[in-house]
Amino acid sequence: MRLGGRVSALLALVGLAAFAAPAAAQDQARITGVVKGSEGFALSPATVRIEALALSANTRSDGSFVIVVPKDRSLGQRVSITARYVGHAAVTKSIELKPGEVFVDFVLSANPFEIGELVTTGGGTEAEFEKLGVERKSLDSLTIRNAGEKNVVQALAGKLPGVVVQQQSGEVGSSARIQIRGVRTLTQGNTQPLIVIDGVVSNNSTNITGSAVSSTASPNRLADLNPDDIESIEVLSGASSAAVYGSLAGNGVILITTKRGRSGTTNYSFRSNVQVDEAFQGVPTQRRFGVGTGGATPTCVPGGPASCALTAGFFSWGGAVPAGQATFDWSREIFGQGTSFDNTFQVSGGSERTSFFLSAGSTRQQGFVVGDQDFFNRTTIRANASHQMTNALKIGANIGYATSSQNAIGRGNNTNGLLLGALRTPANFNNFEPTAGLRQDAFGVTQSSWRFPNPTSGDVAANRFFDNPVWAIYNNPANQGADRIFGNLNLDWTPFSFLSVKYNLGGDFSAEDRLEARAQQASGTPRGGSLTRWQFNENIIDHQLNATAKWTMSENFAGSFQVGQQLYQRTFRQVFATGQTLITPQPFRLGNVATTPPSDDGEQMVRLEGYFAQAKFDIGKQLYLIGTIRNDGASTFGINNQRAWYPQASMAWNFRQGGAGGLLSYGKLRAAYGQSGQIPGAYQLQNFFLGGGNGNLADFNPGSSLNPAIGAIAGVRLAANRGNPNLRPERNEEISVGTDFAMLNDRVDLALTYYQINSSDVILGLARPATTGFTSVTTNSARIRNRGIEASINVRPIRTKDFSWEVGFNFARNRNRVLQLSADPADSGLRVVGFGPSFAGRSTNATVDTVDVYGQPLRGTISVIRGTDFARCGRGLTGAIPGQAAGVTYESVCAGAANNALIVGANGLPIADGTERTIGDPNADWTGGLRSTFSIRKFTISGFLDIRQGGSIQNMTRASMYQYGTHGDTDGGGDVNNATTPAAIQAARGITRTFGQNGFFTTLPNGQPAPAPVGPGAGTSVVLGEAWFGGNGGIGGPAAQFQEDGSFVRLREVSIAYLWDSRWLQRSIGLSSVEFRAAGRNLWLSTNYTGFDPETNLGGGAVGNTGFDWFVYPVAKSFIFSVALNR
Amino acid sequence: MKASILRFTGLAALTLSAAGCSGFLTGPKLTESPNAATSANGRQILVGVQAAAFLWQQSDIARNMSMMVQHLTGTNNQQLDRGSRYLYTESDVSGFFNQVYSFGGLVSIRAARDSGLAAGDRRLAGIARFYEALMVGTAASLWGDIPYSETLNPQVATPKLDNQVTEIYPRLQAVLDSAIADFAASSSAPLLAEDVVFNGNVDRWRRAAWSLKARYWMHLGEVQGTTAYQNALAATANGINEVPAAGDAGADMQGAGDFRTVHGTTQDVDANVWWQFINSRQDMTAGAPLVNILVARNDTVRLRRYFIPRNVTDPALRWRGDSIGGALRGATVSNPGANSIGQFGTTASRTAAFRQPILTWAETQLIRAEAENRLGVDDLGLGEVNAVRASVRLSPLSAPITLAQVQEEKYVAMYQNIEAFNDYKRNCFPALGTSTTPSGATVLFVGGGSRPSPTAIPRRLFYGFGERQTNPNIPRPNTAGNRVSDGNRNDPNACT
Repeated sequence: MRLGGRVSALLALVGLAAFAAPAAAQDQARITGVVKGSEGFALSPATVRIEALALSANTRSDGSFVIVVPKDRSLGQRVSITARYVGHAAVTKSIELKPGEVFVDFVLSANPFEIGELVTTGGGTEAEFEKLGVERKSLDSLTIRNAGEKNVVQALAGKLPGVVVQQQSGEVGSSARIQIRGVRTLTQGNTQPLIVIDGVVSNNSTNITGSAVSSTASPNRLADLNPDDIESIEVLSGASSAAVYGSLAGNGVILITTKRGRSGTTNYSFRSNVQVDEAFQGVPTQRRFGVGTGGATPTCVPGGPASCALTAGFFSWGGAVPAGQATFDWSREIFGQGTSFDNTFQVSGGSERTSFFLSAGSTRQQGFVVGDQDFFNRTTIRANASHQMTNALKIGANIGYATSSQNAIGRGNNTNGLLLGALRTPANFNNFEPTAGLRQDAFGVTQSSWRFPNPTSGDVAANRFFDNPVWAIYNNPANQGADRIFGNLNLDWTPFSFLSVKYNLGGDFSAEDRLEARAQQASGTPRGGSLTRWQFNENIIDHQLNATAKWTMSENFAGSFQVGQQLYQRTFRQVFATGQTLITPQPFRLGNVATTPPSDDGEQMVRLEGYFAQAKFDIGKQLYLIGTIRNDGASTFGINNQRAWYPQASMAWNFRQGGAGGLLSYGKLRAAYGQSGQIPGAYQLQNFFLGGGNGNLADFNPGSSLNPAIGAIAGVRLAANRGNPNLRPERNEEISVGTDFAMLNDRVDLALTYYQINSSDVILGLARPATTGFTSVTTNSARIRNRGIEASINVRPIRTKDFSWEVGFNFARNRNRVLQLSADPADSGLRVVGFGPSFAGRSTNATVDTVDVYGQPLRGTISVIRGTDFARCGRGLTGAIPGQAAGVTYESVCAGAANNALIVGANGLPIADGTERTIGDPNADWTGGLRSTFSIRKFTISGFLDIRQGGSIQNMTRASMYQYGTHGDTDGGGDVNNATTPAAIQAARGITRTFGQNGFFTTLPNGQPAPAPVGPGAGTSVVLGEAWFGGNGGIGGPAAQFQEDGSFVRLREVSIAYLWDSRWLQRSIGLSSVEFRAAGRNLWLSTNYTGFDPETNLGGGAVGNTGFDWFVYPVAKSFIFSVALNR
Repeated sequence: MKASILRFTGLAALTLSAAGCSGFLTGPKLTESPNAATSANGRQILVGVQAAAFLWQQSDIARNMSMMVQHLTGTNNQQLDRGSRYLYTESDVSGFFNQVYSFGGLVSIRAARDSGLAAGDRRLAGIARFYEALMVGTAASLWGDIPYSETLNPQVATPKLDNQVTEIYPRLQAVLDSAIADFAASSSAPLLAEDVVFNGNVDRWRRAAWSLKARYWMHLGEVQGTTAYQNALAATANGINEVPAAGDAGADMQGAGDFRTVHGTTQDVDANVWWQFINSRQDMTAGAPLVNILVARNDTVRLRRYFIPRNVTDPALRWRGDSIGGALRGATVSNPGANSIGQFGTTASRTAAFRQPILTWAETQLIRAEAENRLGVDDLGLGEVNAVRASVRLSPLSAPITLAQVQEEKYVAMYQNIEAFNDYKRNCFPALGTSTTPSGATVLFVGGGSRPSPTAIPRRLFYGFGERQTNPNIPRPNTAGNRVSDGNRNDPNACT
């Protein structure tokens, strides 16, 4: 059915195009020619344009173009004709229009930095590349489109130095997170840059429901933007470039410009994309041993007693799976194949005064979880239009609409979801068998799970402990729907030739609606099913007005002066309602539940009023100075600190430019200084009485919550956090210096940047003794420093008539250091807890630790992983070693031993040390991207390697699978054929190891080589089995043993494209070109990480940290085929 | 010229509109939250105080204290770690320590008290004082020296520790005396709906305050001996005196004068917290010592009210649950061969709305009995013990009664009550085996070093991590003053 729709749409397009093919006229002027690079390689698609007549054409793959000028305009006048091509300097020629053929060829020389082209720099400002005192980071539409991502944030991954993108997982509709030049704030979820679309501040929230560590995937709202509609993306990394956004720009700014029409021929394009997704890889599992404990199989297994429940001995430490019994690898078999279809149709064009761009896109994505329940569908519409009313006044509008719907399967720490249950299921329990494809309906489908294998019809409300994951796919829906309209009205007025006024009034309105439900037979509490409804509304209104006056004193001294104003308002509303115990199995509605616990709602309004002034000086055509000052007031600033100033200054010295040939054809030195801020969150100025749930008893278990409402009697209590009426914005002060070179006849271009960002007044809920009555007070207290290097180099070694080859490499390293959490020396041991997910004592935090537990300097100290390790020498442990003979002390064992030597007890096993320390750092040492493109006539082959070096991951999924005995490492592979007793079966499974030998515990968890173990049992070999993995060797043991290196090299994209643009195509069908493209994404990955993927992240876009794997979905491996029809 | 005027007018209009408007940044929804109140009256706060107190007395700490005295045994997850391996860290208790003082704790209690005093409502002030004594006293019994005299003082950033024996308990006795005076000066009318426990009945509140005084005198028994027992005995004379109906109500301690929590029925919202836990997790079973004692004394009402019997006919196995598999599970049972114990359950009797007894007539009677017995006065507590036995339909004991008999009566009565841990520390009754740990495991404390294994039952809790991090007066874990193997000041003698 889908296919039929696509074919008919194609046919309709082809028919339309044929119908619209122009008829030849005799007296018109036919301007033809070829656009080539200086080495003779045809440039395509280059744009050739006659500005005066508003006519333009794109070149074909052979570089040729045709512009037809109608008879009534071919009157012998002379006009300018300009050819442009990305990365090349534009060339303008003058031609005389006359009836008949006019030939004009262009040779464009390389201009890798696009010198002379205007670059959007935010807030209505723009500047030519050569005048920029900061590095330029940009992506063009082709790069974005060819990434083939549904979510434009993910399309940025690896492409720009210093811009780190992390996707949550390969789940459909999951979020992706951007971070530029390190984390600069301690406010969870506030670490991402400001998104500005067509000059309007835009919403990129990720609204989580329930908890960031469980619940279901939720998209970041930039997923509402069709990547095909984007013309370009400019990234302003930090304060030295983004001061014009003041208090909104603390984490940098991403400027997105959507496509717009140009006067001239009406262009049509239709692009159709088919994509097949698979889960990238599984994790090691064992399939020889089934449910049970001590090598024995309980009676409560499929076929056993009816309604029996395994309340103990439910791990996969039981008997050997009988020969012939089916087994499953639940890390792989729970995933199938996903398919998705993307179609985008775009029309653009215009007359001399009016231009327009229309786009409609549709995405139908089916995820890779088995069954058809995980999907993400999106429809987008965009209309951009502008009209030159008078010679001085131009008005425009720019409107996008997006509607999306999604169903996700529970993730992370969710007993009603997919992987928590699947990866803990014994290999010989068939999750498919009893329930596959069956949705619980009015008749009830009896859910069997491995801990409740033989349900009867009376067991509707019996606890299954973990939902059968296949049953959960079909029966525990998590629907999301979102509608969004966003755009702006703009006005461009030039009252005097030296003065221009720009006005931009933008709106961004989004509404999200969610339903998360658990069917009647779902496990957990409350029993009998439940549902939760959420509604989110986020509205932004952004008013930006600015005026620019240009002046020229002499040829060598010119400049401009600009003033601007921004009024910004963001409102956010949220409504939450929940129901428990479904009356009938369906529908999942609040009217169909027995009890409705208290619902909740809330709203926020934040306003900001900012003014800025910017002065630019162009001196001697080689030195360019820009100075900016911005003043902000915001409703979330303290009453006593309602205004804040942000200065910025930059310098660009073009010490070499335009020199033809030679070693160095272009050279620029640049330096910039600036400040920007981070606006405090809403309502942190006062103390509040709360009526809501009991939030912070810090207990992982249920039974930790009581609302201050007992039946109908409701009350309040004082919030544990004390407000602060003196709050100021967080402030980032950045210096950056750098250089841009073009060398070897523009065959090589190179950009280098060094930066340092000092963040001060960073807001945190500074922990205070609870005995003062409040456990924290909101304070401007922390200082954070980020510094690093960014480099990119592009080389074009071959550029001949038929063949070209380009290689680009980008590199970035950032070092993050929390210099201070509190100025008070009494807070020296302070750390910020809860910066991200935390489980069973493993938490990710910001700390002021400067070394990790191994004595290595900490590279990043925000979102470090803290936990325990095994006892090692050199860590200040003293006294008797637990469980050892009398007189065996840490001091005696460690005498003369190397630091970090593992202490092994008499039984051959290491000793757990309960001291919580910083055990890992998830921040990468450096990131890089290697891009290569070959063009051979009409074929283009390109590939992109995404590289991350360093950065650890806390693989708690592995820890849990050890405990449950489902992980591959829990089977030593001994012979079970002759083992008849449980003890013998268990022995056959045992893994004989010696701590510190043969690769077992021979490296420290941070990857450094470990010294030889010491202690009474050092060198003793042990047999590891259920006792070990159920205790210190599993999730109950020290966390450090589950630190893993998250480095990877990933073939992010590889593609081959063919451009078919024969003249026959145009004559017969009326299409100018057809592009065929086959691409693969994530086809290859090199990593030592043993989980699904080092890139996934439990918290997704909603939290500020990375590096935590707890039953997170794998990343998708995708094959993409696309066809684009252009006219 | 005309065009120029238009241009200038246009620019002037733009300039004016850009000048902004006053009040754009301040006011309702902007600098004032539309989501939460900034003031509240004492009655509203009292409800929040009660919810916090009820949660505190039934939640994680109560579960763990029940496992320490082996009323219950942890079989899985954190309950196995904490209850059977005593792996109970400063992080685990941090939220509880904080909430003695913040949130629904002392800061809200004082706000309710001050609101009551300001409005001339001494009954409200008295109730708030009772909760202050309950919260701070329970905390002091677990942590020993805690901040009290300098708490909630804006001038003191880091409150000091007060001496548990010489400062805190005397202060709490004075607070309770003030509460009693408040109640004496008030009347029970009109009803007070926000007081969900006694509905404003000052007579019941006064008696509860006397019972709490008696409990706290008993806490000083080890260090003050006779004085403490005499004071306790005297206090019980005015304590809770309403006897529950014999049978189920007796076993559940549901007397009208008993200080019991009040609940709705919704998980994670207002239901009984023990029920919330067991409704969601199956990580605990009955403790063998308790089951063994109850079976031995044929205490069938309590057995039935405390636990779910197995569906087996053999009476010896009826109260014994599923095998929980080997020494790994850390269970300490008197009959290790059977290695099976009763299923802990609340579905039988202790359901969602069950009013958890916190301070009761039965406890008051048994405090009296212990004091009489230790002082050697009256009938050595026989009458009180037999009164409690009658409430659960057990036959009376005959004279002379031993201290152990009194202690056994209290051990079985104080099921699921944090106070059972204080009784154990004082009485060392019953003789409890210590934990066994899985081979290779070390009992360890996050943030606090490690401790030998197998190990003795902890005698106190670590201070909360949050307080230790921010208040330099709190010793580091595992240093003198913050070792769980050390007794608090009121507990100089370890149980062996």
